[in-house]
Amino acid sequence: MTSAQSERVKLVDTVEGPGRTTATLVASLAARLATLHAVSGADAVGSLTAGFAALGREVSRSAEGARMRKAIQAGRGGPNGEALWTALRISDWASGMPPSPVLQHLRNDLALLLSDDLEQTLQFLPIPSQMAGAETAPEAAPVTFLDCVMGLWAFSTELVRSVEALAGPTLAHVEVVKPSEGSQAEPQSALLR
Amino acid sequence: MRVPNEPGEPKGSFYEFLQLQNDFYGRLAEETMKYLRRLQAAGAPATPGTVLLPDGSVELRGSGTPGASVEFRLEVENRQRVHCMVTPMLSPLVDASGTTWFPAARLQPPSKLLAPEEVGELVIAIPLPADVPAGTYRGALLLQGFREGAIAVAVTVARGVSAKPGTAAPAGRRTVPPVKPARATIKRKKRRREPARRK
Repeated sequence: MTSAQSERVKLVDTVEGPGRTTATLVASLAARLATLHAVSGADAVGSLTAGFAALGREVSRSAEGARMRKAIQAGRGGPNGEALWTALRISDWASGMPPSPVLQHLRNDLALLLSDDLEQTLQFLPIPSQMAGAETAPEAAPVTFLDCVMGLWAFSTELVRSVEALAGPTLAHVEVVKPSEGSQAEPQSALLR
Repeated sequence: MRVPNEPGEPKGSFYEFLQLQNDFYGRLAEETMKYLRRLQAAGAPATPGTVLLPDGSVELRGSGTPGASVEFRLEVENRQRVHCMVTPMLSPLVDASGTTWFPAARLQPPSKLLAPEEVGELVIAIPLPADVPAGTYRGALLLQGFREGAIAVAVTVARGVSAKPGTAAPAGRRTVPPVKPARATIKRKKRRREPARRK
């Protein structure tokens, strides 16, 4: 027997941060690019690593994520990865970095690509961006190899789905054959004959 | 004053004082780095985000017998001014007796792109494994990446004969084909065996 139930939820802007509009998303992207000039490469990579690990921790709370995590742990990859991270002190390095909200960045950038008022908004550049502030700064958490792997898995899955969603409305689902527009005559050159 | 560094040699109080100083400065440097990192995070550009706002107290409830499937439908309305991607994920379900069930839920679609003011529907089908003990299993439906909010889920597994594949669902509802129960993992709480009473 199958029983079903339907409920409804709404997606709204956060109270403390800026709302999601084309202008704030452009400002956020521009500020991210500007920040790259002010931080070192190690800081940028470390922040991304910590961000993937934070996403991995979140995904590991789900039933599918927990199963995936357990499977990686049980195989050879899990212990070897942890050994590498311990020996090279990657965990110590990444644990001290502020995690970058990688999934939100991906979704915000996708929303920009689908925005219908992007051209008008770009005319108002530069648009000032709001700072994150101490209240929204995430708590430091130890970064592990498994967290990072799980985060990369979740991020790449979302990336693939995002690109498919982007192409979806205009993607041809039937086989298409395009005839050549040029002349049908064979090339006269002896080399191409 | 001589401070030996050979292991086993007796170390005086001055050595302990130096050790204490070293620990203090080491910890101070570590905490300073943490503070600077937090300061760096606070100065980073804010990322516009999304939160989940349920209509009142939302709880997805369903019931079935082992071998059948429970199906939930969740309507998601995008009240933001730009597109939003929604990726649902189901947490493990736990019974009052302590049994933890890792359901092999099928989420259709796995991700949904919602335009502003658009309402999309997510269908969550949970096959009940044949060996799942009867009880009410509680968990949460999370939307990946959203900072706050989760929807409570309660699945009641009734005692009864396992449903045959292809059992008709109620009218107007989608029939969920049975899924191999092997993918679902159930962890039972270990019960301590009581010692036999002496006569």
